[in-house]
Amino acid sequence: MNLTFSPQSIINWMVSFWEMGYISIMRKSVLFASLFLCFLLLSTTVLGQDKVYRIGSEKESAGGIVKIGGSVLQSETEAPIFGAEVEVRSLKQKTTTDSLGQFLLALPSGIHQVHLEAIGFLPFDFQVRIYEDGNLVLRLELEIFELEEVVIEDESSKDPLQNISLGLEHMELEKMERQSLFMGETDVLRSLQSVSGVSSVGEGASGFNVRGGNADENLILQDGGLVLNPTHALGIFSLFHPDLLSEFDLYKGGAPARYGGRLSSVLSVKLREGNRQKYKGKGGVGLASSRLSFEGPIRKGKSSFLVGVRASHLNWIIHAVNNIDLQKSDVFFYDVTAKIDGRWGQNTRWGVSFFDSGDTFQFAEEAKLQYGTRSGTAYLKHLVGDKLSLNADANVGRYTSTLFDVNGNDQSELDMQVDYYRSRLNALWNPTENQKINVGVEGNLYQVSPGALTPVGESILQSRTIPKELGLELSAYASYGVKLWSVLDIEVGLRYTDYRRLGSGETYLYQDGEERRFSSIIDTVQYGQGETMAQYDGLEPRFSLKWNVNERAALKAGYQRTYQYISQVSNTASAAPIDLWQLSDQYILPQFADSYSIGYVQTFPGSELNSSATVFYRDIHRLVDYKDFANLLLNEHLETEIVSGIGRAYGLETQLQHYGGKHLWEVNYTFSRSLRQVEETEVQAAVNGGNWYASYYDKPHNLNINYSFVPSKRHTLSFNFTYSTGRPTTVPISNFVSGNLLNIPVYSQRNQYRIPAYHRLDVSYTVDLRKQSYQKWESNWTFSIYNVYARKNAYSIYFRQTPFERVTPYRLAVLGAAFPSITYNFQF
Amino acid sequence: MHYPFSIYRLIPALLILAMFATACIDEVDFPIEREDPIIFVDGMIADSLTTYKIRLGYSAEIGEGNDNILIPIIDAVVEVHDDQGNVVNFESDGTGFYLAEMEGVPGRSYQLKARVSGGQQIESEMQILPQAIPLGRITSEVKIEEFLNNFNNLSTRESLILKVSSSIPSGERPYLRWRVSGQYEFREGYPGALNTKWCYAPDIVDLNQLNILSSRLLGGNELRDQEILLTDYNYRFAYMYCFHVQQLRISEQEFNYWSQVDLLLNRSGSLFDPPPGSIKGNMYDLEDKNQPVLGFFSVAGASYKRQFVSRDSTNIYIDDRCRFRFNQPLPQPCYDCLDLTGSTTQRPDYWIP
Repeated sequence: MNLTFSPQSIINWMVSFWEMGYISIMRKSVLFASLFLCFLLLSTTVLGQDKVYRIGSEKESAGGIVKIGGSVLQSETEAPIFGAEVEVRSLKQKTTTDSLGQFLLALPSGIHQVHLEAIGFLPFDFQVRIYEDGNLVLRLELEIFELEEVVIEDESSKDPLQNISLGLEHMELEKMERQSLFMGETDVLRSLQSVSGVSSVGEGASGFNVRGGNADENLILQDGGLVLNPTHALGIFSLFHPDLLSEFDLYKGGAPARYGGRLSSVLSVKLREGNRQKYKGKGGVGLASSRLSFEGPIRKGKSSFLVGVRASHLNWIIHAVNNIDLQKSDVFFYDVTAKIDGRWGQNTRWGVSFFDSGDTFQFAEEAKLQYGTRSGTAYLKHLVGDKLSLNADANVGRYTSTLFDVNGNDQSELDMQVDYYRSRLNALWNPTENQKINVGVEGNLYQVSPGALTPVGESILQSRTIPKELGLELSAYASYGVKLWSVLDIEVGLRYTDYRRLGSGETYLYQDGEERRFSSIIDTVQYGQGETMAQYDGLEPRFSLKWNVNERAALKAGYQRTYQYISQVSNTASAAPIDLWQLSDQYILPQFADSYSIGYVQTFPGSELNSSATVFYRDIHRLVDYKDFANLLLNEHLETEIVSGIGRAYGLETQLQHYGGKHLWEVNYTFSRSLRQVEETEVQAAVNGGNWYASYYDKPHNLNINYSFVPSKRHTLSFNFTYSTGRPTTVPISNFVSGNLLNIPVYSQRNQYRIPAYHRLDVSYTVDLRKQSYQKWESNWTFSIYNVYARKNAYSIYFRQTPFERVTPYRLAVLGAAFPSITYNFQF
Repeated sequence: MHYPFSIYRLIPALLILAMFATACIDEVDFPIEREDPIIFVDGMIADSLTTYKIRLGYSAEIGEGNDNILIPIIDAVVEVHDDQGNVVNFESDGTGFYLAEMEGVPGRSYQLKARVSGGQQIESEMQILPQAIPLGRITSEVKIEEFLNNFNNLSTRESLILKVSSSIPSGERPYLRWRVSGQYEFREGYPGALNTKWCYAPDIVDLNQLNILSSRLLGGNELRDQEILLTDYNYRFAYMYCFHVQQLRISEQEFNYWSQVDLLLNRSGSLFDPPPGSIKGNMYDLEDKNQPVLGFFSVAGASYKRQFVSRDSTNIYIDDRCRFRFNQPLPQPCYDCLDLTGSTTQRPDYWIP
């Protein structure tokens, strides 16, 4: 069914495009104008399809209305295309495909011209002669010809005028690759930090902070599988394999009811599907790591596999450093990601994905740290009729960390582990074109092993194990979305969660009216296997509204309540890989937050410019913070180290973006605050006298500017500038002396000072190597410089004092130099 | 050692490693607001008859030119009371130290009371003097580390590690702290010297070091090879060096206090550093308990031992400081060893040949 692309077909396509009507053209012009240019400039050979389909016989036709259903697939991979428009213009009938790529139209028996289009694919016109109910499988060809000055993007999900969710950030791999890269690595977490409202505590911090929330308040999913630690190398790299990703969505607010369990945000990273027609490979060799992926059909056209591996090779850099300790040290990380997907019949799709990652650090002959994630996910999607879609997925995962002390008389291993089991059933029903109803249930089972200390060799330590903890979180949710008068979108949702901390285990009872301390324990209550030790439930209402003020502007508002039943226990500025996860129990109550936001989106006619401004406010209840010098390791009565308070975060996020043409740029500025208050109660002491204080990630001003210049298809030059207020810190304000000239510092109240502001400029240049049409090998080089002007940004300020000398502040700048790198990427 | 291991000290090292040694540390200006000085107390009594010192003063400001300038309190009334009604008066020496000879009794409780001239009265909580844990074997070893010198050549440096082994009484889980002081033999020597003297010089060897242990983490009742001191292995060990090791059994409250001090002293600046905080000792203001009072009045059960170390016992040769080197002037103590601070020619009676 190949078709040679001809000038006539271009003209036909132009005409049909124009016939779509002015409004539709305006809404889609950003994408299709560029697509159209490509057609004009680079007419080439593309695949086509038969133009006439026949269903049933005219002679046997009973006339009347017949139903035509079917699937729209990518011709190369057989992956379903979501959101493709199937239109019979003469009847003004139109529908769009669902997530399985399926559609249904009711048409009068007879001959109809059908127009099929989807963003990023060549449109397709065909004739159908239909006389009885029937199905079609239609394939669209991805735009694979060489593009000149064109960036294809999923406008429907990116277009802020179409998204109801206020706070949804959508990013595709292409945009991530355009951004300046650290050590040549495309990195989801670093890309995230260019988004307004997202920040991190510092370079090398694990995770990210959204609208003033903790890093553990982000629900991170890769293809539906839970990820507890999304970083390699203590936070320098993210663990998502860039060549296997298709896109990510970050809900900073306005998360649909189907998501829950975390206070701040949802990050959903999606793996792409493997190629169903051909075997292909992709990879890259960089200074820090190298990667390779391979994909292809299992049963041609029916199922595919995709597998990628990545491994670091940092040791040659470390061993080249003029330092004995580093020369005796080792750093290594790897990840393996695999996915198999396929379909059963027309209406069912299935997939299995697997992920395994590991990190190892050995520092000289002193310490060794290992941590890793192993996770598997399976999903099944089934379409019932044309309006109901059923999804089921299940995820099993494990996060482990081990710290080895390899020196002295206390040699030991400290192991921690979290096992999690997660499953979800979801039904999406579109009773009419303007309504959608989503219902589902979700279950999460966590088994936390908070710590097991094992002495090694001649160690003087005794082995010790903190009992395992078990938590079950069962949720049901429903949401209803409706479009009214073509300009108003409303979505309301409700999520209910029942959480139980299950035995076996024991709970300590403390003396009434006394601060919780080890010494105030008066009794211990034992619970048997499966017995409920603590139970909580919570209703989480969700509300989103979008009012299209006119064709170019929309007003949005949202509210959500979220509960969180598992938290990472960390009293440091950034969570460490060895920090344990703690389930809510009798004393550590589930945190919950109420988030409000309102925003305005404006696009500008005649340009590819859009802007937005959002104001948000979040109230956090039962916030967990820590006493000074909290001892969190191997602690069976963690409640004695924890204090409970409230928090609030608020701010203004602004965004100005320009996409298209040779100049792509984006300016994001955020003003935000993140504050906490812990007051004195019967069972706890106040923090900072009960006054409000800044959280570690309270950085009021954040500015990110990205600019990419794409003079031709081969060359991309990108700049990234970032600025943020310094994070809060606690510093010594005086000192005194004890005994053998031990200078003891006296510190300020918590987070009363700030480290200096952070800013840096990065630049990267990517050049694609020319290839001949007969060559299968494609490649490019990426040159990048991180921190071009070598600013020594303070990672932290800390103080040292030696006897007879003054207390001296020191700045630790982790990447305090310009950091050049080069990466070679290839595909075949 | 208050955590099973010094976990928070290892993570920063790993982080630096992860940053491929591009990390740099440099001194910066960091303005700190002026704070009112806070009264502090530092003192200890134990179960041995000796002269004890208690120090009173006001904390020093931080900032260039102000550090370490503690304001001594010289005219306070300082007393130690026990639960039997006995009172020991500590006399001011005029420099902020208060001295008295006494001997604590295990099992009794003691309390420090001080009245400052402005009328402020501070007190410690009652502290029980615990039974001392006998100090067991003391051993030493020389650790040789490789490093790259300024000329990028591989070189070595030696450190001496002092270790103790003690038996913990069955059923007890004491908290321990070790204090170490030193004394070394020094021989004058210069070209043409005839009657060279031998001197015995004191050495503040555990300067700024803090060694504590919770035996709650121990498996069994034997504490083996616990490192209590790390010091440069240099000319001080050319002849004979005497370590005076004191093993103090302290209260849980005091152990927690020193644990917190230890955390503050060993900060590396990493994001994984546990946050600093306000340390609360066992002193408080009698009138206003919210008024901060710094420091800790320690009441400990003490055991003591000496350990002699020399280059002969370590079998690792170390040069005499006064060995003549061409074109290198000899330090002044080589001409007169009494120039060493606090030194004497009087050989201590416990010194071994």
